[in-house]
Amino acid sequence: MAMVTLKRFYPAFILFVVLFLGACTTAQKPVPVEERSREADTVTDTLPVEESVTPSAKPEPLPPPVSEETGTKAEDISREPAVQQQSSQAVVALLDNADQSMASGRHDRAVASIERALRIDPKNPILWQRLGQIRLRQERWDQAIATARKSNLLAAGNDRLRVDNWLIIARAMEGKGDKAGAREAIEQARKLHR
Amino acid sequence: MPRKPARKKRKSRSHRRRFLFRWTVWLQLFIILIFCSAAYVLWLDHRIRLEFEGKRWALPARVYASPMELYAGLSISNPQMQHELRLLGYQQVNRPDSAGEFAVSSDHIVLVSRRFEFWDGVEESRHVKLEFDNGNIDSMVDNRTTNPIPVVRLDPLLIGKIYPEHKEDRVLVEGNSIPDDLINALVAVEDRDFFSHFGIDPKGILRAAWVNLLEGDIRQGGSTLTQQLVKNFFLNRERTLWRKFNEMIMSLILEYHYSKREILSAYVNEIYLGQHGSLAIHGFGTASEYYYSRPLNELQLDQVALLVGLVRGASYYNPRRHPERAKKRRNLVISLMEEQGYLDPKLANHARSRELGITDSPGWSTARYPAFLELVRRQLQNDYKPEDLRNEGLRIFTTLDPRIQETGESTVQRRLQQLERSRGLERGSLQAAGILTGIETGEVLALIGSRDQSVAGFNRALDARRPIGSLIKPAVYLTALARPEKFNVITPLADKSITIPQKDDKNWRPDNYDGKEHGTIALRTALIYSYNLATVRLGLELGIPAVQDTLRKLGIDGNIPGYPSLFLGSLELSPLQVAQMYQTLASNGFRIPLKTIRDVLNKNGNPLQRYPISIRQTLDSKALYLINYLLTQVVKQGTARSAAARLPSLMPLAGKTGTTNDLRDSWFAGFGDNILGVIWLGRDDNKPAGLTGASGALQVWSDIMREVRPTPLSLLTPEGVQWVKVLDGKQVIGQCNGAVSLPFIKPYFPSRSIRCDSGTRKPSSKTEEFKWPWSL
Repeated sequence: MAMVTLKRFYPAFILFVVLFLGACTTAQKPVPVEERSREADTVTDTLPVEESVTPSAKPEPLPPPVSEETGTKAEDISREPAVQQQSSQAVVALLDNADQSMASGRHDRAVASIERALRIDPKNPILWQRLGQIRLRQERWDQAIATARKSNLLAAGNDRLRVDNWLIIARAMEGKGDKAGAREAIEQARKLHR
Repeated sequence: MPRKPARKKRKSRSHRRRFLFRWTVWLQLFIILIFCSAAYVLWLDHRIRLEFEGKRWALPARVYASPMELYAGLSISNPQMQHELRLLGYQQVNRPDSAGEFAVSSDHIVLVSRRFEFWDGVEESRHVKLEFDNGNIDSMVDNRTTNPIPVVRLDPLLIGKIYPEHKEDRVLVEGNSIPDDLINALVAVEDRDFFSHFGIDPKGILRAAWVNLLEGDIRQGGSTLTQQLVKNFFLNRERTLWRKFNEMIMSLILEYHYSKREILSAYVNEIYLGQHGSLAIHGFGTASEYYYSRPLNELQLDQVALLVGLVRGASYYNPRRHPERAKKRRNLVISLMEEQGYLDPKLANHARSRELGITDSPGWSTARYPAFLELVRRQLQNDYKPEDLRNEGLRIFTTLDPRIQETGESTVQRRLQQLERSRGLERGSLQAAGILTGIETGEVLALIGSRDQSVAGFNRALDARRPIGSLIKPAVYLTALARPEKFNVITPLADKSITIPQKDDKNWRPDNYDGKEHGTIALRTALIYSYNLATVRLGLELGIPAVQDTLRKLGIDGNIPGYPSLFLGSLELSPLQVAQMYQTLASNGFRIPLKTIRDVLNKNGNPLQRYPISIRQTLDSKALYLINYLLTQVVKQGTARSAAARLPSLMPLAGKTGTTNDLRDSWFAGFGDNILGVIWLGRDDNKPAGLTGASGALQVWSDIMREVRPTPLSLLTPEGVQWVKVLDGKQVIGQCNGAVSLPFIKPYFPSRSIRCDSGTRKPSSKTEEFKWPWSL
């Protein structure tokens, strides 16, 4: 009886066998053949990245916000004629870009434009000063001070530029809470202004 | 027969039972089958959708070089500019009118730049005319309006990719930016009824069979684009009926779930079109970059046709290996398009007559700049997980200047062969490393990790730590000059032999390179001519900790051994570390961390991370000014004066030679206003290389600088420094022959003064301009 019932299953069984064996039957295939090796032993231009990763070098945290008066207005500082070079047109255009970005509050873009200009004219004190102003707006006080100092170094003899640099330093010092440093910077600016 | 009815009854009952049983078994089986089929289809549905949705996300990270900025005044010659454009895959034509084309004449280049989305703004495509004069761009105007253009940023060169684990390359083409030619060609050749069928196309199969029978050639395939897409999703290459069946089911599922556009878009990005080593080239965007080094939307009709031809068999029709076969296939594609009305005969004829125009090697050629990319990789590792780098389609903008990099590589190769020949050194024994950086930006412009750049291996620029010899001396003298009340550039120093007792009872007796003592000399002379004895004595007076402190402020991290031999450069550093140290010198005491990465963007072009200029003043600019002035004198008249003779138009440049015991290491570090270069030569086995800093590394450096043309050092006198005329260590009042102008830090001028009445006073025998015949 059991055998008999089993026999009843044969048609279904055969159906399954056919269905599954179909998977193994290879069919005719057209020319040409694709060689698509995934494990060839030729050298490639991969950048192998190793497993161990230690997170670090995070952007510096933003300092606490301060009152509106501490930010300089870019417009306040008149632009000196750029260094007499053929490349000055490019530098002026990039400086304009930076000023537009700054006016619309896109400080990162402004920094990027200044960096492009600095690659063309790295010793231009106006560019370093503008970078200082942007950093001041971003309240990145240490960078504002360092870039204004850099501008000062390159602006020897240009008192007007240097007065503005000292004012940037003064505001950044104030932002940092360094009252004495701010006073000293103001004093430097005053001396030059005379 | 009383039992009969009972039997009959029983029989019929059992018959009915049996019938019922048989029927329910079949029903159950049927239900099970339906259930299984449904489950199977659902499973396929899940699989294909997962594949369809998921595939779009595994994109390799793309690494770009620094984009070239064009402006009037840029130092680049007409041939150099052509080279740059070819590197970027621009095509030379007679009349450029679409993006990525340029035309050349003797004094100008006209080009149509590519549109490129930088994160800080879109650079639109422009028609630019560059006029050249004397190795510079003399003017740059819009070729249509003739208005001057201040600055154009070209699209950046792709220099490397970081691939997903399964080694697939893919440049995504968005659905709405698939060129019409491509769609037409695909439909004409692969699937005529693509826009009307429901995933499979019985009519198409019959037609294909008929056409192929008539032509005796495989002109058409029966699979729809949808089926081909499904086939491409799964790695298994075997062709079986069962697979075919599955493909059909999945094609129907795809058509049910997604629009024709979505399927076409996936097809264009997924289809397999070539193999580069272990790397599979997927999609038309990637293939365009791979075969033509240009973006898909810039391809001509015949080029699109060639790529479409590859669908049939990327290996069989590989245009680099079988150009004739590929051309035949391309022309067949064009003819099919013509037959079906996608092309008029004139266009088709023109397209068929064109050359293949395949590049010799992929644009982002295999391991083109491995040494630089290695440093990029290390810097990326600090901030990113490996799987993000491989799969997220990040775009990494680096600082590499391909022009400087290539100049550096070819120069090193040429000069090393020459040095080996002329000095009778064993061939191939010398090794080299070098690094060029932008001074005020801290950007690594080029990195040379070995003599042969094509071999990725030991990266000497990063990993070879060698004693730096006299390269350390500026740090010793800087320590002194930072005490202006005690030291200035003419402070007399004793260049006399000295014996320093060591802990192990062995005395250390340093020597000068020429083995002589030079008596009492000015501080500046000791640095310019790199005298060891004077330097050791000065160092001992300053103290080891003071010099260590200066070195740290210059940017040397890690352990600095505290032995007196430190003063002569027993400190072992990599060229990268030396570059960091001289970077601080060159930027007048502002420390700038060297970087290779400007920005990392996600695949939508938004910045994930920026690495902007970040500076910190660590040293006094006045003392540094004095040191940098002295380093210009090293090049002008001191140990590196051969550079001044070879590069007169670039002077002043500043620099310092370095040589170690038995001529094992040959160093030079030098800079102008914008570029710093550090070169090391030596042997991997640390045997004597037979070269001093001046006869080895300096020669390579000079060769590179002659091509790179750094801006001469401007040496703007800072606030607090004043130039004073001196003679015999005294301030000169009036005119004296033989007096020299030297910088001093206010108010520490020479205390004594001298007046020359007639102005005819003879220079003293102890003049500061004494020259030594040897170089170190």
